[in-house]
Amino acid sequence: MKGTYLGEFEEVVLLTVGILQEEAYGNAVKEEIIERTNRNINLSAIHSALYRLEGKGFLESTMGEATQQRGGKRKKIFRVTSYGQRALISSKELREGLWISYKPLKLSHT
Amino acid sequence: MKPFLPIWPTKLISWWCDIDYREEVLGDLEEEFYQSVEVNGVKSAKRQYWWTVLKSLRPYLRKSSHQIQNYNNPNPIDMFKNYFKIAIRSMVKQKLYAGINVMGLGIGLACCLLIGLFVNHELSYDNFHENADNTYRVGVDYSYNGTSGKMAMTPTALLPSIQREFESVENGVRVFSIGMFSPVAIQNGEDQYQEEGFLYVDSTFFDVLTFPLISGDPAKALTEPNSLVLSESTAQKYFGSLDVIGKSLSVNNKEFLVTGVAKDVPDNSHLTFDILASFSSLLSAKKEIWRNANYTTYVRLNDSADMTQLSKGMDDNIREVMGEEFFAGGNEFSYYFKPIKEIHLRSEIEAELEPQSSIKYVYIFSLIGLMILTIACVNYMNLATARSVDRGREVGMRKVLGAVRKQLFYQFIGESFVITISAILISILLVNFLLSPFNLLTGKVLNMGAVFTPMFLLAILVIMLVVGFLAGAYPALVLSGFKPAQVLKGSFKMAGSGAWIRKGLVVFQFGISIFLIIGTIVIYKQLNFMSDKKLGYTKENVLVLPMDKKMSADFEIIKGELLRDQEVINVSAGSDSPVEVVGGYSIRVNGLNEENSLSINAVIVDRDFVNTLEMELIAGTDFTDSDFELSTLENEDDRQHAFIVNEELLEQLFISTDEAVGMKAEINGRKGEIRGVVKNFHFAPLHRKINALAMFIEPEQYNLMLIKLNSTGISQTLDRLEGTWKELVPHRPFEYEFLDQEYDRLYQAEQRLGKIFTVFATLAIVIACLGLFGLVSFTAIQRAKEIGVRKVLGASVSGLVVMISSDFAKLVLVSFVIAAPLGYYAMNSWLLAFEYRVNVGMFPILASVIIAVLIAFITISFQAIKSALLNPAEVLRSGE
Repeated sequence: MKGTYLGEFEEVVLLTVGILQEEAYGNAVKEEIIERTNRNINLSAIHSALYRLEGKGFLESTMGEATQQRGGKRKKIFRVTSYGQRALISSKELREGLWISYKPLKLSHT
Repeated sequence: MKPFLPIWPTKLISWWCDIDYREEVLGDLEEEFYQSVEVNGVKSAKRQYWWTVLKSLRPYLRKSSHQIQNYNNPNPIDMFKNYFKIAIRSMVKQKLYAGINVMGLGIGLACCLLIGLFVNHELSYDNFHENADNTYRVGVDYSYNGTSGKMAMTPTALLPSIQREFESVENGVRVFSIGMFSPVAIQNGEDQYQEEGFLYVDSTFFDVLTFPLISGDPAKALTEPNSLVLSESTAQKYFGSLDVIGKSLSVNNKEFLVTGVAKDVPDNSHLTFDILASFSSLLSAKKEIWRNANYTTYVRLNDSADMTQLSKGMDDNIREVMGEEFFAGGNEFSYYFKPIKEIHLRSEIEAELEPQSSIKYVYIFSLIGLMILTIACVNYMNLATARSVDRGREVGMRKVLGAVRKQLFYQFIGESFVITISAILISILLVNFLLSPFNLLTGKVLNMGAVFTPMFLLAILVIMLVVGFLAGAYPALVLSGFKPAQVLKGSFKMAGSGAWIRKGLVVFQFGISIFLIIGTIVIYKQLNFMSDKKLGYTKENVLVLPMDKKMSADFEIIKGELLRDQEVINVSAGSDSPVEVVGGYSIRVNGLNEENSLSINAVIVDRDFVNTLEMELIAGTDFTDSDFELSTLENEDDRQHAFIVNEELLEQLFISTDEAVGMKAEINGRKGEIRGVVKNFHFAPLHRKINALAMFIEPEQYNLMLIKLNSTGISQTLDRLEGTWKELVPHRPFEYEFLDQEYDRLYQAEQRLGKIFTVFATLAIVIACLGLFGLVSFTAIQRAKEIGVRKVLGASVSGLVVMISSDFAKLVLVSFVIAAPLGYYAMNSWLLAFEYRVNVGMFPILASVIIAVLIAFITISFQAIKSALLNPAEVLRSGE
């Protein structure tokens, strides 16, 4: 089913939201991912992913507090839903399953 | 100092971004910008800002396709879906009411559609002529010796003379419907037929009137004497093919050549024909004669024709032709032009070529259709408002959740449309099934094709909109007006005014039904009266057969032979049937009115006419043998006539019966004396008063033969007579009609009206009862608890039935009080069209109220008994 598929970037965003807990809003998620992955990511990509995940039901959101730095605009705080969590876990299990069966490449000495 | 956010990208993103995302997205952007300013400097930050904004211009920031519900801007489609769903659900839940509604409305609409088809057809008469708007029939308005009237008969000279004198007359045609006087005998080898639809017409016929030819040249087909144009079906009848040009037929023993085949006459033509013969075949066509008016004249005028000037010119002509003395003493004679399209419905002429309809019937029909539709609409209104208790909670809930009255109004109007559309579909199905019985009833040949014309479909659409709105508006207003707090609290009761309107509507429905019942009964009363009326002659067991010149010459021999059959009581002949004498003559009685002749009707008869028809002589004698001999002398100048006159004639001349016998008199040049006086008999439809009438013998003018038979074993007698006939009159078929059939035909329109009233009165009462039934069963449910409590406290079943029924019975009585006087008045004025008529009397009134109350009571008691018999424990236990 289309809705339950979790893309690589989506998985990263979802996990990051889980890490950031109460501070999981657009810009913070972006900073965190840049810091952890060293990838150059545009804010728009983060927004797009967040809303998509919310649409799929993996995330839910509430309006958070406003800060001076944001020109008095409120943050939207995202939280992983239990459904989202299940999707993360099943994705992890899938990988682990794959890892168990994985035959590492034998380096040949020539 | 803190740098400013770049203005343009901010504006851009605000514009792009949906209001729901705007705050957080702009906030994130702004936060990122100031972080970037600190790390990378203003320039780089601005560049990044721009870039991010541009990359954000993607659909995910547009209107939500996400689950985030948008409460400020609800999606109306969903709402309508919900309305529709609720409408269907409430119909399914209340199958009875929905069924009554849809069926009632469907039947009503079907009636309306049928009547619409009928009216549409009536109004379409003669529209098919290419120049229908400029084509007229010349009529005559006359007043002569005290009798006045209109007729469409003109002399042969009229058309040529007006064509010569008035430029505005583009073209014209004379039509002589010989078949109207007596059917024409046509022979093709061995086959012989009698044709009534036989017209002699000028060669311009196809130019003035639009009757397309299948073969033959329209301009030349009827120029030569003795040429014939057959209609398609007549050609098939005689030759079995359409390729008939050049073949010949014998018309009254004269050879005619077929020169063309015309398409069959459309059923909406006032003028119909099976065979057309060239006018030049007639002797009378050779001369222009003013004195003998037997021809119908149609003319096409040009657009600039000035009608008043034209009529005036013609009036002047007439004065010249008729001579001034004709107009002395208040006699009038003037021509007028009747638009061809108006002939069918507004002819006002008694002796039409074919019986025409009347605009009166179109109005009556439309009115009935409208009434029935109204009854059906009223049903819907009534049931919908009655059911409002059920829907009350729904309305309350919707209002609490923010629905405004307008929305609820549209919701219920919409429901009414759902019902109306279903009803229309059902009605079209019904029309499909009912069309052929309806055609029998009205004598029309309508088909479904007429329903699916653009105009008619448009009409259906309009009806749908009007009915859907009218029927739905009131319940919608009532329902949408509920106060949520009241309905939801449960203390909700139907508003008093609502009940009042509902009662009014029931009264209205039954009023219409009672009106129609009265109408039906009165029409049948009059019809019975007419068929039982003592006419002054006996119409039973009399055969009527058309005669021609040859038969007239041999009449005495034929008569003698026929009389040899012992079942033949009497044989006679005449110019007209006693059922309707049209011949107009004038009489001068010596020493009485030699200056001013009296205009009378006269029928030329054989000497046994009075006996054959069993008329009663009150003075003098029947024709004697010497009368017969004297009035049939070879030389017309030597003839001595004897006249038998009716009482009315004596009355108009102020002669007593005793002195009348033997008086010398003269009828249109025929000299003679009054031989006998016959009791007044009805020789015209009962619409008209009995006029003065005379009878005299003149064998040259016999048009029909009358044979009086014994009432026993008629079919054997007829078989025997047919054999005798074949020997006596080999050139004419033995095609007969009974005199009483002919009599009944006079009142075809009334009989039809009677049948139609019966059908529609039945329908009206059925629909009204459907509505009443629904309403009563609804009240029964509403009052279930009350009934339960009453029962517990000791009320009897019969007492309860009376209690429930009496409310509605009262309404029926009220409607009676309103409708009965209206019905009385309307039917009384209908009866005024008859000179001889019944009184409305008490019977129809009483019968109507008894029928209405009885039917209503049966309808009501069905439900009333059901609810009265219910076990009170069941009703009272349920927690609701």
